[in-house]
Amino acid sequence: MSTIIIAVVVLATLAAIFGALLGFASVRFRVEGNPVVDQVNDLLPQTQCGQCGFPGCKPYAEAIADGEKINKCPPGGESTIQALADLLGVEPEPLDAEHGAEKDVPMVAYIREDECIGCTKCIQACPVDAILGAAKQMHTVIADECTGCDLCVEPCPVDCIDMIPVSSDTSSWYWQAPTSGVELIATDRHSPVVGGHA
Amino acid sequence: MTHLIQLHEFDGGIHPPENKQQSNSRPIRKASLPAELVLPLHQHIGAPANPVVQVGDRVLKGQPIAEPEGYVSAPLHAPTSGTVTAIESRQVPHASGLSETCIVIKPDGEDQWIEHKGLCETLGLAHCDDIPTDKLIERIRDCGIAGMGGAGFPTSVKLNTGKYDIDTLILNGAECEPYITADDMLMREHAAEVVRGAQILLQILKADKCLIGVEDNKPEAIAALEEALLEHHEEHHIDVVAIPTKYPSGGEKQLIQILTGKEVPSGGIPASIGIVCQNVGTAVAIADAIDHGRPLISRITTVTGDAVKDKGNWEVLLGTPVSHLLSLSGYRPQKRERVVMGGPMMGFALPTTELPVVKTTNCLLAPTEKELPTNNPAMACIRCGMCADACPADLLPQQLYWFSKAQEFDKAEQHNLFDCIECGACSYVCPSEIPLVQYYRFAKGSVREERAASEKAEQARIRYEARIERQEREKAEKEAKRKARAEAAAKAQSVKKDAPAKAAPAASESSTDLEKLQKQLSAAQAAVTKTKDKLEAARNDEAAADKVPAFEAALAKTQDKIKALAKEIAAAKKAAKANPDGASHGNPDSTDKGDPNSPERLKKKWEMAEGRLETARKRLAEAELEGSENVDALRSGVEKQQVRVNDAKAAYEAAVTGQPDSEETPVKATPEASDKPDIEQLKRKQLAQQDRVEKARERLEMAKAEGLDSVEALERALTKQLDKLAAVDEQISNAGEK
Repeated sequence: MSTIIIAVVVLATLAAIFGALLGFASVRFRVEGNPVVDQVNDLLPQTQCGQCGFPGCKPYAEAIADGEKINKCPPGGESTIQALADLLGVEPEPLDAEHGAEKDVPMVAYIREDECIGCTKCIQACPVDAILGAAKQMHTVIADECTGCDLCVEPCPVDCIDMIPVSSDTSSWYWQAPTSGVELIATDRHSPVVGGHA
Repeated sequence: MTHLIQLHEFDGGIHPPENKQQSNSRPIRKASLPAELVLPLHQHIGAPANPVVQVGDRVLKGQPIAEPEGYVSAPLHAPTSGTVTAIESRQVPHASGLSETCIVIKPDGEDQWIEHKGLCETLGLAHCDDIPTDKLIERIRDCGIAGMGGAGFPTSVKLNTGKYDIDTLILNGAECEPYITADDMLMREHAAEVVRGAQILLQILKADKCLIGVEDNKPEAIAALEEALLEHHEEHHIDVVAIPTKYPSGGEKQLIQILTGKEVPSGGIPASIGIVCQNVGTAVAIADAIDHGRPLISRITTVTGDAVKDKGNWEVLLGTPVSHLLSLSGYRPQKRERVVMGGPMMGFALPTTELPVVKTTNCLLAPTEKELPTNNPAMACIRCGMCADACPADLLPQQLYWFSKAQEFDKAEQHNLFDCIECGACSYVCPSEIPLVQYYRFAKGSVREERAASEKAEQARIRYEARIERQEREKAEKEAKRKARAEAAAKAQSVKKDAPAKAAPAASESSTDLEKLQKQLSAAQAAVTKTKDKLEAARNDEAAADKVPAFEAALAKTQDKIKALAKEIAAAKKAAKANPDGASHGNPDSTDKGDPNSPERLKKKWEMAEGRLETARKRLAEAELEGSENVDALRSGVEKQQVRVNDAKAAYEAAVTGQPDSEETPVKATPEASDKPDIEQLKRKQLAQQDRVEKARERLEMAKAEGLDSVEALERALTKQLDKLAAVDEQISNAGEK
């Protein structure tokens, strides 16, 4: 009988100690925020274009962490979907066409400055503050900061904003992968070459 | 050689046919002036230069035509005198075949130098060894010197070693790539300048020794250098070291390993192990820049290959078209024209020969098909491992190949993709003729692009978050301001009301009403002033004379409105004062503002009206003098104005005499003793009189609290009111008795 009591007491003591330890650890090493959100956010292209239906990449990342579909990001395209699928351990799905198609070349906004009337509407629309200007002063796009999200085009009352493809120069150009000699026949080629400029 | 140098060896390497004898058998020739010179602004690593000349400018030889943009950049100089004919986008000698901005100069044939002199002379120093280091580096930067071995890294940047102590300077004269003999010929013919350049570099770097590494297939160059060393008595500092011929011993990291046995750490620079490596051509350019003030405007270029008859080395001005140089060398175009810029191992085929020679063009190779066959289609990798044996950087080319092909760039990076020097040894030995280097270049480019994209994404994220934060902050600030304003208003209201604590909801309602009314009143008053201004303007303007009546009507309307508002305000105030409690802290200013019938205001009104009357009279007099048509109209206007003045005066006087009900439309409240007094009427009178007494008392108290001068007058008014009340009471009692 006493052996049973001893066993119960020992187990109860151990349970209490480990419970206390775990309780302490959960308070002491508490993780602020949801780490998955940050990981997902890091994978998203940060164009802040809102094409996914959320007001930016972070809100979409939060939604993904809550179970939203991962195929709603056209600027990220297939590669982002693949990366998200790898991270979250879900099946990659094809890009949801409802939210737009993946662009093959990066774009940048360009304001035809002669036509700009200085209404500041595009400045308010830009999610990354990449447009410079003031009321009744000509505006211009800081090309290096522009994510090519398109959001400034719609509000412009005089339609003076164009989305132009980012031109490739000698410092951003790089060699394309050579076509393999044994895969000269088109049907033999498997992985399509992506990225880069011809 | 005065010191015994222990040579080391790097792993791998190949021994391709040298093919140097074709071009090193005759001295360097000077290329003639072409019809035009095309100078790309981006001939170096770093940011493109910024043009400082305009189209149509005449430039002299050696004149700066573009200045560096940022730290890692180099300026550009006119290679000869002539006219700038264009600054435009032209195809540049780059593997991409892309176009970039170029300055085009049409030579005038005079080859007239801009004034230039050595740095020592410029600074006016007696001893040229005393030139401060920063002046030397500045001169090197100003002369546009960029690494002439092939990479084109701005030399001045490379010489700013910062925190690193440099003990060894290495001059690279290995020239290991087949066919090229530009450095060989340079060392033979300009050995003294090479040594002088080494001296200057040693002075800048404060290094102890200099090693000039030359492959042992260039005995003439080695001999010339040693002779020059003896002449300059530099044999104790500078050593010419003959190294075994092996490709790629001229690679910076490989040469350092051969000469010192040290390896440059992965991702590091030679300076981190106390070494700076410069090409011999760069050393000559430095000597020219420091001693003669000549900027980098020409270079030695080998023109070779079986497709040219007259192989050899040319001293060619930068910007000279390749076609010009080829035609000087007797170029016979092949069926499949192919001109390679650089050597056969690391060079690239030019898309056209109408491209200029740039700072890094060490060789133009025009081979025949027989001499340098085009690549056969690549076959499958048989995993022989010969590439790994040939790799001078000790990498695993086969693994890198698989990863690059499958676009598994992260794995390629783990296998040190970025330590690949793209020498092409692996491709050279590959029995399956796989263009391995091209895969690595592709992989490197993709990774760099990815890195740039993620960097940009990070930047965008930071900016986006900053924007969101800013918007929230602004919103919070606005909210706080709004709250503060509301609180202040509430406080002011509660102070105005005598009982802030006990304020009944109805009272607070009426107070907000009051506020609203006062706002309306001030708006109406503003409208009045505006209309008055307009009216004045219209009156002054003959053309707008027909609008005057309309304005006047508008003015009258607004003034009516103001009167109505004033009445309403008075009513609201009365309501607010209906529950008087505690001491009054009324603000006389605010009551003044809200009360258009206060004596000050009335007086102002009167004065204003008088002023207007005056102007109206003047205008009338003028009109009469001129015999104008609108004399009648003006006269009636004057009359009207006169009436207004009289009204205003009466109102003011009434207010000043202390009529207590001046807030209301002034009603002469003189008690009339009627012969047949009606009790009801009298009672009403009594109530009104009580009210007036109450009001007069309040006013007196207010004035007392504020210590105003009007206290006495108000006291008098109160006594009068009390007397009147007593009279009314008496009348009532009389009437009651009757």
